[in-house]
Amino acid sequence: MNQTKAESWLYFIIGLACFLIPGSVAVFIVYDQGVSFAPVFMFAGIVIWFGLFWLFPFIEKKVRKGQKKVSFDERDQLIHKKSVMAGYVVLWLYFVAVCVVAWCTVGPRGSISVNVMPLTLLGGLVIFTTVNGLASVIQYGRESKGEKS
Amino acid sequence: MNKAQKTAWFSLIMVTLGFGLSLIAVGVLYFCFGLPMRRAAGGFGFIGIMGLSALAPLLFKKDKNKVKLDERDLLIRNKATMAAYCGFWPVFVIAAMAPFFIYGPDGTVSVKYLCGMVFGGMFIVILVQSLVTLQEYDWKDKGEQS
Repeated sequence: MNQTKAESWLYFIIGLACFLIPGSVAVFIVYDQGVSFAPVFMFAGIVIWFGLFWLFPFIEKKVRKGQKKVSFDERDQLIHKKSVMAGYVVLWLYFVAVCVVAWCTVGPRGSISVNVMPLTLLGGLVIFTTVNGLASVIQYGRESKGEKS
Repeated sequence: MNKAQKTAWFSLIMVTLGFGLSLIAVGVLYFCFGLPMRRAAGGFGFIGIMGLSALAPLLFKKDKNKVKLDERDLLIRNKATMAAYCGFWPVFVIAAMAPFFIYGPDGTVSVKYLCGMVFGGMFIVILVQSLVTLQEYDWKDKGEQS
């Protein structure tokens, strides 16, 4: 198995273990027993982990230090960091916009449903992932073949 | 001390001052004057002092002839910003999910809570960014002058 395939398997297993399985279990618990601490905790954990998943290539690089083949060089790191920064900037603007829209909609003395918060988080994750991916694509160049790795 | 260190110290002082004065004001209004918490929470107005940290680039201007940011400064700035967002995200998620757990899926929360989350997020970002910047430059290191 070559390195790319091994990395793909690793990301697949991590995705299953950290996102799909806990998410499914949380949905099942809510469906079966209603909302309780466990599924809310699982949801919060998944969202936190998903928002910080961009750290994984850096951790993997440190773990794989000393190996002959470099799959995440300095250029990749720089592009990845810039993409993450772009994602966080847009994410911050999105949260501020949500706050302003909520304030203008219900007024300063109004209330909002607690369901708005998790939905806001999910929207933020989608925006972050989209901007992150777009920024990476733009920086690598849409038609660039790039180096083989 | 270079410009980045001065900015980090200034931001750290403003954040600590804003948050500290807010807590003191709320405590005094609630415990000493006996005001209900809803009115005593007006003491959080001091948190606005945090906004003064945005003046740091104007206060600590650099000589035009000198290099503004070298590679090391850029690396430290990037590291500090990434660390700030790493600290911000888990706290923000917990703050967003707490009302859902406390009040249940049919509950409501004041719209001011949402604004409080954004302000709290700003506080954490500025605090962590300043702390990491100073740590990377080494707290007692005088560094190059700028």
